[in-house]
This record gives sequence, structure tokens and C-alpha cells, in this order.
Amino acid sequence: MVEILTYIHTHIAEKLSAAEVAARFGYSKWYFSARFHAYTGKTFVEYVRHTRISLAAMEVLAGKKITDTAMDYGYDTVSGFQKAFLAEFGCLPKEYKKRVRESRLYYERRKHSMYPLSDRCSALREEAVFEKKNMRYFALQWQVYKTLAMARHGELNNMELTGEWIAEVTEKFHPFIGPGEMLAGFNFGDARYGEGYVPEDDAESRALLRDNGISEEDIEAYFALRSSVDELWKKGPQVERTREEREAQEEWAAIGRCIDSNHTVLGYEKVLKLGFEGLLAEVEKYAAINGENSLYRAARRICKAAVTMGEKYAAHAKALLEKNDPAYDRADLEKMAASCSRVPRYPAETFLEACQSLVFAHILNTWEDTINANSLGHLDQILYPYYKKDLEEGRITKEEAFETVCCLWLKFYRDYDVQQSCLGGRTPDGKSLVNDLSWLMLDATEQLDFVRCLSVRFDETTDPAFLRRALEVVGHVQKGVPFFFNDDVMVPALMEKGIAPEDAWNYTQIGCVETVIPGKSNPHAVTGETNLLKALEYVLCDGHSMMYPDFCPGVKTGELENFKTYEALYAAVKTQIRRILEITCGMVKKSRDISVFTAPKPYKSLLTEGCIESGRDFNDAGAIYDYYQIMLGGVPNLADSLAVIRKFVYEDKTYTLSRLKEILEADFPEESVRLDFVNKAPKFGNDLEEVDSIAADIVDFACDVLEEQEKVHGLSFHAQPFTFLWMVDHGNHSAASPDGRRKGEIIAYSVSPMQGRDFNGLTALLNSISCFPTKRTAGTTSAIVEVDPKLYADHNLDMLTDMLFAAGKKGLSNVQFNTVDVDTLLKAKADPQRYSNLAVRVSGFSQKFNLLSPELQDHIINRTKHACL
Amino acid sequence: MSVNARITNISRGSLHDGPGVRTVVYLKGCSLRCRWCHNPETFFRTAEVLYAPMKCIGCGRCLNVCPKCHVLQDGEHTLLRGSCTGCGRCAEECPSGALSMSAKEMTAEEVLREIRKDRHFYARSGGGVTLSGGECLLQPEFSAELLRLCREEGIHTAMETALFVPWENAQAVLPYTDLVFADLKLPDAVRHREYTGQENGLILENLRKLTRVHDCVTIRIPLICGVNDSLEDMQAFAAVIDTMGEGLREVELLKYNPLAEGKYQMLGAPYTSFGREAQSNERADALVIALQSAMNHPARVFVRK
Repeated sequence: MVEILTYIHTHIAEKLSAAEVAARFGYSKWYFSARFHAYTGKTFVEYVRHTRISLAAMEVLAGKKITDTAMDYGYDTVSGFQKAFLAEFGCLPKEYKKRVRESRLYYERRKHSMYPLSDRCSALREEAVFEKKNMRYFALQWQVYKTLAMARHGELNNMELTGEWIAEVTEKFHPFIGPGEMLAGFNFGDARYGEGYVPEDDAESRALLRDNGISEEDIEAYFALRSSVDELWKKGPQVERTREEREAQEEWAAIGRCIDSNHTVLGYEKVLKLGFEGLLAEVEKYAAINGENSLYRAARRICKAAVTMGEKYAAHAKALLEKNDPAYDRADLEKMAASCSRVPRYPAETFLEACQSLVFAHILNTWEDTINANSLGHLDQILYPYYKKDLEEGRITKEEAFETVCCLWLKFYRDYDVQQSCLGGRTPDGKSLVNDLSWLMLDATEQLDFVRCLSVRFDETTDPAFLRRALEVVGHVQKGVPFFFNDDVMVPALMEKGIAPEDAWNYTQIGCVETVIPGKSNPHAVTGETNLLKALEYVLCDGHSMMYPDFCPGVKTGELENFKTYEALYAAVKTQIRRILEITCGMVKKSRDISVFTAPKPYKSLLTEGCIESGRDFNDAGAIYDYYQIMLGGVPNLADSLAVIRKFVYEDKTYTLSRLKEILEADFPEESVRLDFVNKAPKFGNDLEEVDSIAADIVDFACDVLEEQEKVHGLSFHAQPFTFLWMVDHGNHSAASPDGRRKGEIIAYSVSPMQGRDFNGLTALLNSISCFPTKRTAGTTSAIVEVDPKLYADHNLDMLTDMLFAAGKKGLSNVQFNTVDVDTLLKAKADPQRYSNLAVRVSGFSQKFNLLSPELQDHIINRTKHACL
Repeated sequence: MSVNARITNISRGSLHDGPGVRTVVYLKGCSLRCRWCHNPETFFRTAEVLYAPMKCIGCGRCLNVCPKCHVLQDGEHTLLRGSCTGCGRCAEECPSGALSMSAKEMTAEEVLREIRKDRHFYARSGGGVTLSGGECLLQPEFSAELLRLCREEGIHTAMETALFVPWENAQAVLPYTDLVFADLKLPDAVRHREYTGQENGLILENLRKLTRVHDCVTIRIPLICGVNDSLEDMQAFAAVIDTMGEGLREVELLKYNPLAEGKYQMLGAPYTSFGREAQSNERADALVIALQSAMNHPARVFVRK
């Protein structure tokens, strides 16, 4: 019988009859049929039909075309094949494919069930998010010990002084371990007493400082010295700003600074792998090769101090053990004492040690130049080897690993958190990087239910189940995390900028959405900032600002009468865009030359490839990749404005340019005219080619100009259509614009449509924000999409996942989802107390709604909410 | 030769009108007058002026083009529908969008261009186009042409119909339709007339034919509070459904939509409310179970929450 079945299978595409097969194997038809039925439980015809369609179905699932499959399996017509399909599976091939996929997804998701938040983590969460008692313990020590160190070593140059204060803070701070903690160490704790906080010289502050364990003597010295230490900092050369630069900067059209601090992702895995002893050996090695210099001295000083960091905590844990305080769990303390006596001095061996070492490494980074956007990178990758080893060797369970991840998340908690970490992605050869930890980290984010700044990378090949789960977390947590980056455009964009493929594939994010090659780059995030909408003001006012008519930062592009055609006008707009970018890049260059001198970063250099090897500082082009991100703001408003001008001035000829200028200068004296402009010309965000193409072309042109500027200044500029939350300031300093935007009104966020102007549905919006030359914008093209929470309902999630994949294919770069309905936002605005944990996407970060200005709150309320239809 | 139709709306990114991400095209004109209809702007074949008072800024531009139909008194604008011929000039002039036309004349190619824009979403999600209305089978030439063009481009096609049309109309479109949503409002002829203006004999006859000639039909029952959403109603529906052919695959219960009032206001038409809220999820589940267990037909009953 087996031979007979084999025969049927190999000849399945041919016409098969029982009589013919029976004859071939020497049976009578009747005998054959009876035996066949007894053996298979089916008649011959049923069996063949079933086999044929099952094999065909497998081919369809594997992606074979339906017409080809029908042909290959001996169906005369496609509809015959579909009928057979319907009879067997109760649906058509296409639907079948989808159903199978759905059930797989469902299975995947259920298989992966979430662990509950442990009691310990719930308590720690309460403390971190609401109580913040423990936070104050470290709050002020940094301030005091840094000041004292600087005063004592005023003779040192900036580089060595930085090394000295980091080392002294490290050596002097008083360790604190809160009850229930698995991981030791604080960086700045409560934002109120954090980086920018300067204590008043009063009884309350003194009490707080005492509470921090600072001696009376040091407190006295601190208050005596703190006003004078700034003078010990060696100033760089003064920058000469041109008139254009001053004016452009003052009206927020073009700002070129050099963000030389707290925007990095360092090679923390080096600390995990080598420990600070190993790193010290590296410093010695390269100092011997290249000769001693300040960087090596500072780095050495930091490494030596850093090795003591863990030991202090180990000693403290042991002291707590001796005290036998019932608030503490002895097993926890023993574990902590053990891990802290090894890391960060030596390489981490276990998952707990790796997490601990990472916390220490991050703390040192934030001590160098504060927390802000110093980010963490691919945590699921960095920690995975340790997790895997522990799991394999039976040291931890998955649930314990989950708890550790929660504790790690709690360590990084801040009200305003832009310490990004990134999950997933893939290797250059196509291997998915999604692992157990990626899933656990999503779970931790959901279970802890606070803003943990997190992003997920995806590309065409990403496991849909993982992306679906990430979207589900957005829906469940409703705080806009994680957000999504499309490797299929980000990686080519980075490679275009000369970044090696293996490094480009390893990109991650800083803070909001800034792109960085972890441990290998100085990205100078949000360094150049532009409001391209200003270009139109400069055209309409012949180089002058319309908002501030005395300012003339633009190019004199001539009288309005000269712009006979739309093309002529658009060319002038481009001239002004070039000017804005020239000013920005020029200022960046100047600032950069100063920061080489004023902002040395020995710790960042230690953990950024290229610096120690070359003996050059992180801020002195020591990193392998040194580039500058130039933000392009106002693109949607400029595109909308140009579309209005094209229609009303050049096509319908309703207004002359001069008349339009008068209307704008008077800030729309007639509301009906403003509404004409709003409603009767196409608006960006609705998948309308005639305006989306303008927006895309503006960005494309800006990329061209930045390439020119690279040659002028010898720096690498990465285009970044992103506004951070400066759309508020850009708007406040901009005159009324033809898109119907009033004078001073906030402009659009990044490349999201002007708030409330997109009404063609989610797919149209996704198409619009995917229209940009995203393979040229290495700094990410960012957009926030507002969706109704219902869109995250279980039965919609697969489709939302598909939408994201489809948009990715179309060129989407970065998207962040906001998931709060207008009702909730309005209630929260009225009753901030009750909604104190409500957070929304503001820019590249989420923020608690009640901490936003009323203006920003309204901006978010006014963004179009996309519901499911 | 291109065929025209009046389109009230093309709604993109729909997730609930067939498999995958879909574009739904709403055709104007319907042969029923269901009292709960949430698309009342599709009742008539001709386009009418919609007026949203909230948006009106009292600029008076409409008066300039049509003093016959518009009155502005103390900044308050009134639309005199009695003298309106639906010429649409006021809507063209209105800057705020308070006045607009309920439909737009479009060719099949024009509509196809809109549909094409989301092709990559269909491809990834198994979605496509859904014709709705109004009654799309009142314009069978257009519907057939549009779906044929979509088919040619490999776009999945679906339509939603109430089937109160001559059978030939359906026959013209069915060859190009992958999936049919057929509405079934009330099983009883008299009550059907009471609530929709017509008896349901033709509808049921067409539905029986449809489920015998087409192999992928979903019956949609809009649950109207107090009209057809009792457990007994489910018994009666089941009896009708049992007479259907094998092409009937699913029966979808649609929860009541209480949000249609605004559209009636914009049309200046009277509105009957059947309740301020949709049926609860628990209620909907109970109805699904009641209907499914009363049916002998193998179709699956479900509701979206």
C-alpha cells in the first residue's frame, strides 16, 4: 500500500483514476477500492482530492502564486482550484493564508505569557514613581564633590579636571541601598535635585546635604567655593557671530550650536566584558604606543576610581547584613555583596553582574555630563549572553530574569526619561536579533506601566509576532512607548553617510530619535536646528524676517513682481533654505571648534572606539564616526504654504503675491480668507501627491545643501527632519503663514502633518509621512501618529502590524504612536492631579501630561486622532 | 468608455469591512429608507447641500452666490432648503466647510486611482476594496466596472448590498466580487416595511439566489435596539438563514450605532433615535449564541466589539 500512496503523491498533478492505479499495481478495481478505503479511511477520489489540495495549500503558504499552484497541481482553472480550496478549508486561498498566519501569531503570543510584577518590583515602582524618598540620597553629592574636586585641582586642564572630578565623586559618594533593591547605585535620582539643581544656602538645603551624608566641613567649603569654581574652567576662544547668524538665531530660524554633552550611547558592553581593570590595561597599552597625554591621564584616573565603586557597595551591603535590618532581605544583600565585589572591576560573569555593571557604567557616564539623553543602546543584545549562560547553567529562571529586568528599568526611571534603549533589529546577514530578553523587556515595560524610553527596530523580515507585541504594549501602556524605526531605510541612509555596513546595522537611538552607532560615534545630536518655514518669510520680504522686519538674515531674492511663475518663487524659497542651512552649519562648525577645547570627555572617550586608540578626545573627532545632526523643522508648514500659493496666486490668480504678503503681515484680518487657505488647497498628511511631493522635495534639497556644506566645513552632516519640542519656539517666532497658520501659532511636529489638517485616514497619513527621501535622512525622519486606543484592540492588532510593515516598505523612517483619546486629555488638563501618571508623546519622548505647558497640551489635543473605522 | 457614479465618501484604512486593510467606497442612492440608517446622505441619487452650523463663521459669502437659499441675520446663517436646487455653488464658495456637497461625481478610473494608493497595505494585510452605500447595486454598471478594474490589478473586491434591487443588477456585479456582505434587517415582511419602507420579499429571494451562486457571502444584521435585537428575533432570523445556500459563510451582527444624529442635522432631516448606546458586549455575545444555536445552517455567527 505504501508504494501505491507514494505513486499517488508523485503523480498528484496528473489525472489519477482508481481503475488506472489498480491496474498498474495488479489489482482488480473492486478489490483495490475496498483495500484502499480500509487503509486510508477515504475513497480513492476523496484521498486524491484531499492530498492534492493539502500539498497545494502548503505551496500557497510558502508564497507560491495561486495561478501557478493551480497549474502545478493539475487544476484546469484557477476557479476550479479555488472551489476545491473552499470545499476543503472553507475559504479561498488568500483568506486561508491569512488565517493560518493569524493562528500562528495567536499561538506565538499565548505561548509567550507574561510574568506578573513581583511584590518587590511593585514596591520599588511605588517608591520610584511616586514616593521618591530614596532618590534624594544621591541627589546632591555630585554637586558638592564635583565642586570641591574642581576647587582643589584648579591648576589642571579641562580634560584632567573632568577626570579628577569624576574620580573624586566616585570615591567620595556615600553608597545607599534601598530595601528590596537587587541592583545598587543611584545616578541623579529625583529630577528636582538633579543636574540643574543648585541648592540655596539655607537651613533646608543644609539639612538635605547633611542627609546626603556630606560632612559639615564639606558643606561649608561647598557654599564658600561654588560661585568661584566656574572660573577654574578654561574658556575656549570666543566665537564671532555674524549679523545674519545672530538674527537667524534670535528668531529661531537657524541655530547652530554644538551639543557636546549628554547625548551618547557608549560601548557599555566593554565594561561588561573587560571590567575597568581591563579597560585600564587598554589605556596603558595605547598610552605606551601613542605617548602619554591628558586624555590617558584622565581616563586612567577614572578607571582606577571606578574599580572601587562596586567595592563600596559590597562593603555597604555587608554592613547592612551585619545590622540585620528586617527591612532588608538577607539573600538579596548577599547576592548584591557578591556581585558588587566583582563588578565593575572585573568582567561580569552572570546576568545579575552584567546588569549591575551596566548600571555602574551608566552612572559614571551621567556623572561626566549629567543624565539627559545619555542612552543605553541595545540592552537586549548586550545582556543576552549573560542571560543565556545563566539560564543554561541553571543559575536563574526566566521569571527571575524578568524581575531583574524590571529592577533595571526601575534603576533608570525618571519623570522625564530620554535614556533610550532599543530592542530587536537584525544582523547584516539577515539574522533576527529578537531574543528572549527583547520579549521580557517589552513585558517589563508593560508591567511597570511607566515611561521607559524604548524603541523597537523592524524591517521586512522582522517576526510579525514581535512587532505585534510591541504595538500591543503601546496600546496597553498608552504612553507612546515603544516607538518604531525602520531598518530598511535607516541602514541605507547611514551607509550613504559612509558608515560601514556592520556598524550601520548596529545603529540605535539616543534620547528622542537621534541615530547613533553605539560605542563608535559622536553623533552631536540636535546640534543644528532650523525652521525652514522662515525661508518663505525671507522670500516674501526680500531677505528680511516678516516677524521681525529689522532682521535681514536671508538672501535678497528680489521684488515679488519678479516671481512670474510658481517655479521662480520656489527657486527663491530654495535659495533661502540654502541660506538657512549655511548659517546653521557655519555656526555648528564654530561651536564645534570651541567645544574641542571646552568640553573634553575622558569617560566617553574611554568607551568610544577610536578615542583611546588614537589618543584623541571624543569631542575632538576621536570617535570612529564623528557627525553632526541638522534638524529640519517646518517642512509640513512650508509645503502646505507653497501649495496654497501655487493654487491661489499662480493657478486661480485670486491674490497677487503682494496682496498675500499684506494678508500675512496683518495676520489674516479676514477669517474667511484664512479658512480658504486652510480648506481649499491640499494639505500635507492626506496622501495628496501635489503637496506631499513638495514636502519631499524640500527635504531632498536640504540633503543636497548639507552635502555641499560637508565639503565647505569638512564635517559630516546628517539630515534630520525632526523638531524636538522646538516647534513651539519656531512657531512663536514665525509670522502668519499661507497654510492658514496664525502668527505665533505652533508649527507642525517634525514631519507630522500640521495638527488637525490630516483627515484622510491612517493609511493616507502613513503614506504621506513615508514620502520623504528617508534613505538620505540618516538622522531619522520623525513623525507622531495619534491613534484611538481602540485601534489596539486584539482583533485590530494584526492589521496594525501589517500597516506598519506596509508603511515601512513605502519608506517610513520613524513613527511614534500616541494613544490617548481627546476626552481623557481634556479631563487631564482640567484635573492634573487625578491624571498624574498620564503620559503622551510630545516629541521624540513621552512626558507626563500634567508637566506640559498649557500651550503644548493644546497642541497635542489638536492633533488629529485616527480611529478605527 | 468610463462610467460615472456619485460617491459620497471614500474611506481609507478601514479594518472592519472585509479582510485586511480596506478602502470603502460609498455610492449615493438607496432603495430603502431604514429609519436607523447612519449614512442618510446616501438616500437620494442627487447630491444635496450639507450644512454644519458649528463650522459657520457667518461670513455671508454664500449669500453672494445664492441669495435665494441663504439668509444671514445677526450673524446667524440659515439654509432655506425649500428653494435649494443642489447646484453646489454655495459649497464651492464656503471657506469654512460649513456648507458642503454630499456627493461628488467620479469615474471608475478616478475612484480606482484613490483605491490604488493603499495597494501596499492591501498586499500586506490581504485587504482590498469594499463597495458600500447607499445601494451600490443601483449603479451596477459602475460597480461592475470598478470591481473589474480592481480585479485586473489583483485587488481583492467586496461589496455591501441590501439586495433590494432587480436580480439582474446583482448578476452584473457578482462576477467581479470576491466577497458579498448582504444586509438582513428584519425577517418579517410587515415590520420590514414599517422600518425600511419596503417589504423584504425581493431581498430574501435575492439572498437565497445569491448564496447559491456566490460562494463567499456574509449576512450582516444591524442590531437596532428594541427593533430586532431580542432573543426571539434571533429565532426568526435563524429560520430565514436556514433557507440560505452553501455560499453563506458568516453572519455578522452589527452593534447599534448611536452616533448618526449629526448627519441628519447636516441634511436638515428628522432623526429617530433607537437608543443612546450600543448593545453591551455581553448582550451582543448572548445574541450571537442565541442565533448560532437556533441555526441549522453551518455559517458562523460573530460580532465585533
